[in-house]
Amino acid sequence: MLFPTTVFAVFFVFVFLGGWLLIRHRRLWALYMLAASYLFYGWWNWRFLGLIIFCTIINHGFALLLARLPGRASRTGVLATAVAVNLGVLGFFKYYRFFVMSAYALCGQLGLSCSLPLLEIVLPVGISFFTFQAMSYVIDVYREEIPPAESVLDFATYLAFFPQLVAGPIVRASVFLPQIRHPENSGFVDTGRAATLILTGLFKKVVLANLLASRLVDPVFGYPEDYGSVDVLLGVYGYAAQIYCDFSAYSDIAIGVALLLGMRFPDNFNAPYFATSFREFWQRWHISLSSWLRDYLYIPLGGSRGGAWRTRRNLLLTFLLGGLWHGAQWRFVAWGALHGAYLIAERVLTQWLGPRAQPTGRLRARLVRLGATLLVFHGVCLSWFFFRAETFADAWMLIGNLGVWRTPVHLGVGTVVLLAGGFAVQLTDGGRLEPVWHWYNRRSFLLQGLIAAFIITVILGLGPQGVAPFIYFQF
Amino acid sequence: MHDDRQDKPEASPMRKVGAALAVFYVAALLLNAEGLLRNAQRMAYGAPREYAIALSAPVAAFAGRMGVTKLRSGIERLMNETAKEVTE
Repeated sequence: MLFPTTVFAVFFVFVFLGGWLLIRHRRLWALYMLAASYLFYGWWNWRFLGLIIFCTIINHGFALLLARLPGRASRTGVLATAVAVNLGVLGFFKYYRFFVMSAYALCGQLGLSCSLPLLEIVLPVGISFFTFQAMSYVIDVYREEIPPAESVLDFATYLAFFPQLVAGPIVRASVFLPQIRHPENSGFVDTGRAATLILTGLFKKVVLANLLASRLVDPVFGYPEDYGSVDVLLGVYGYAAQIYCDFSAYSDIAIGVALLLGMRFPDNFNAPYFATSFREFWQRWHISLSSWLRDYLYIPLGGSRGGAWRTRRNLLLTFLLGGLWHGAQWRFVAWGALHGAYLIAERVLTQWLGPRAQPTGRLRARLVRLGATLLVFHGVCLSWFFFRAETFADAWMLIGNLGVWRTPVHLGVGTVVLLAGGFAVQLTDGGRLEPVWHWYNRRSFLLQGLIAAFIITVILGLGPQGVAPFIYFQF
Repeated sequence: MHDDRQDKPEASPMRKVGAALAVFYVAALLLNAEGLLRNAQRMAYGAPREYAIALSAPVAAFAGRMGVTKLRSGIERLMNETAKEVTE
C-alpha cells in the first residue's frame, strides 16, 4: 500500500476514526493500530507478516530476559545472541544472494570451484528498518537506557507502526513507547504541522521526484553512452534532487500521518544540500539512520576515543556498513566508502588547518561557506553516481562522460525549473514552515479541509500519471 | 481540570481535526472525481475494477455537472502541453 493512492486514503479514514474513538483507551488503541499496521504490511505480501511477528516476539523476549538477568557476562551473551539473530534474519533475506555471488566471483578469480546453493529469496519490504528498530530496542534495554515495553502489544505496535514501517524514519523505542501509554497531549493534534508535512511530502514525491526521474534522471542513467558532459551533470544534479525529494517525502508523510494519529516523531531531514561540511551533511541527511549508526556502531567501535588512526578506521567501517545497509551490491559499499573517505579527509584537513579554518571578515566567511557548500554538494553528487547507476561500468562511463562534449539534450527551461524546485523545497525542512502551521491551525475546519483538498488537486494535476514506488522501498 | 490546550495553544481538538478531514475527503473526491474514474478504468479487468468504476462514475458525472473538475483537468492540460513542447 503506497501513501499517494486511493487505497491508502480509504484505509486512513478507518484508522483515523478508530484511533479517535479509542484515544482514551490506550491498550485498545495500541491493538487497533497494530491490526491496521499488519493490514498495511500484509497488503503488500501477507506471508511476511510471520517474519515481523517472529521479530517482535523474539526481540521482546530478549529485552525481558535482559531486564531480569543480574550478571554482566550473561547479559552480554543475551545481547550478542539478539544482535546475531537480527543480523541473521537481515543477512538471510537481504544479503544471502549477494554473499553467495561474491563467493562465486572470488572462487572464480582464485581458480577454485565452489558449490553454494543459490536461492531465490524475496526481499521483505522494510526489513532493514524494522530489524534496526528491534536491535536498537534490545541494545537500549541492555544499556539500561529504557525499560522493556510494558507488554508485547506495546512493542509489537512500536515495531509495526505503519507510517514508518516500510521506509522509516527509524524511530527509537525511547521516543515511541512512552507515547503509547502516556500521550503528551491526548485528544489534540497539531493539524497545521501534520497537513504541511503531508502536503509538502506529496508535492516532493508526486511532482518533483517523479518528474525529475521521468524527464531527466532515468534517461541519463539508463543510456549513459548517449549523453555528454552537460547532460550527465544535469542528470546527477537531478538525481541528487530526486532522491532527496523522494526519501524526505516519505519521511515527511510518515511523520505527518503519525502526528494525525497522535504520535510525535523527530525530523529525518534538514536541508542536507545546504551543509558546509560532510559531517554536517550527515547531521542533516537521513538523521534517524546516521544517528543510529553513530550510537550503535561508531561509538561501540570506539568512536574518536582511540587516537587518529582508530577514529579513521571506525569512520570507514561505519560508512562501509552504512552503505551495505542500503543494498546488497558493491555499488552501495563504494558509496559508503566514498562518504567515509570524505569524512576522514575532512577531519585531517580541519586538524591541519587549525584556527586557519575559520576565515576572518564577513564577506570572506560568506565566500568560504558558499565554496564549502558547493564542494560538499559535488562530493555528494560524485557518490550518487555509484548509488544510482545500474553497474560500476555505467557509473565510470558517466563520470568519464563528464569530460566529453556533446550537444546537450536536456537543457531547457523545464529542466532548470524542476531542478530549482527540487533544491528549493529543502527550505520547507526543519520547522522552517512553522508560521504556515500556525496560520493553518487558526483557520476553521471548513477552510482547513478546503485548502488541503485544493492543494492536493493541484499536486495530482501537476504530477505524471501513475504512482512510482518510493526509492527507499528497495532497502 | 487541567486544559491541555494551555500547553499546546496551536493544537486542535480531535473533533475539529475529524471535521476538517471529512471536508477534505469530500472536496478532494469531487475535485479529483474524473481522475479517480480514469484510474478505475485503467485497473486490470475483474471485480475490483467493476466496483471502482461503479463507485466513481456517478461521482465523476455529478462533479462534472458542477464544474469542479475543471481545476485538475486544466492543470493536466497545461502539463501535457508543456511536456509536448519539451519533447518537440
